[in-house]
Amino acid sequence: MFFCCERCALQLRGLLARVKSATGWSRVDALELEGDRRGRRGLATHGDGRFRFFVAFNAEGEVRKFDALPVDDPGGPPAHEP
Amino acid sequence: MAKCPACLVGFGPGAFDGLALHLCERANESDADHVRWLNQNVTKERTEAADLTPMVVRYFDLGGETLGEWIRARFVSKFFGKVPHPFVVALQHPSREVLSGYVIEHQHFLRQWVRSCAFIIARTDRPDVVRYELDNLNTEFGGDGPERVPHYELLLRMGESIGLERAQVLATPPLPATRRGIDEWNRIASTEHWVSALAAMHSLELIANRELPRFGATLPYFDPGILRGNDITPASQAFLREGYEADVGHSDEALSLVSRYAVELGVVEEVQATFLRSADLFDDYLIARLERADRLGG
Repeated sequence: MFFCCERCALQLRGLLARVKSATGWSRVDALELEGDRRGRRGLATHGDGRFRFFVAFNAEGEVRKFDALPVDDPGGPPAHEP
Repeated sequence: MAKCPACLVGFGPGAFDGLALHLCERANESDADHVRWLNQNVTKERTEAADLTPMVVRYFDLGGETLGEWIRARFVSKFFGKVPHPFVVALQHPSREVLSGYVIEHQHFLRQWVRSCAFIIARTDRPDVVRYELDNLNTEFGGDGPERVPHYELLLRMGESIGLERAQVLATPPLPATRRGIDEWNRIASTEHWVSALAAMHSLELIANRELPRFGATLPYFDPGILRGNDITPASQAFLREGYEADVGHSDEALSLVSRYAVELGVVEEVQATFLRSADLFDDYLIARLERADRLGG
């Protein structure tokens, strides 16, 4: 996997760790992310499992905020943090 | 002199081709600050220097605007645009934790602020700039008796009103983004042209300028309704009211001084780059206030 910079790589590693911790999954098959640097809504899948979340990072690329969202969350870029 | 808005390395006057080449080189090395600046301001596509040059020229072009208007437009777009900065959103109706994050990180910011103002006084030869900064030092740090309590003291009182011991606030080290901002603002104020330092610091006062909705801001800094009622403590109202009432004139006067002296002294391009760097540092610093709030459970 290629990243534009180390900060983005750190963000993805941190996000995957939080998703695995929240779901108990051993791996994440796919991630869909919508939003921008202010915060992103995401959908993670593992087999038939689906997990929706909001994530935002600090300036160093560490996860600053991570919240589970309802499975019926409509998705789309977040207007602001939940 | 064109300068890089990510690292402030300088090129020749109008040398945006050199700047574009530098941005490409640093982005190809995956440097996070340069990638970030390109992604957020010019393009998310990988672009060769020859194609990037006209895009960078367009970005820095003042068009028919004064430098102050150019700065204000970019500030509004960055912090009060379609997706406003998360701290601005949180401050509309702030929790105790958000205000605590404000206090703990901002006392570090204000202590650097007065050092930056002092550097500008030491390095300018213009009496109106000295007077402007002296007024600023008094407002922020010196005060004038019980009727004119300085902003720094109002901040600490806000902290006490929400349960933060003054000694605890003063003993808490800044988060990394705050530390990085302070270090870079200190370097800017002590080594960049004093007009660049003036722009870098006082453009940030636009954050509390209540006139910004006239210039496209989608939100004010906070909902002015919280200055009344019981949503926040009286000491918090006093702190926020001070900035809300003071910073319109302050930021407008600073931008006027910046516009005038940047043109007169031929430093428009480096002032633009230094402002942009400062705005990125400020963006990260505002996130640090939220990060502090998150750590306190907000």
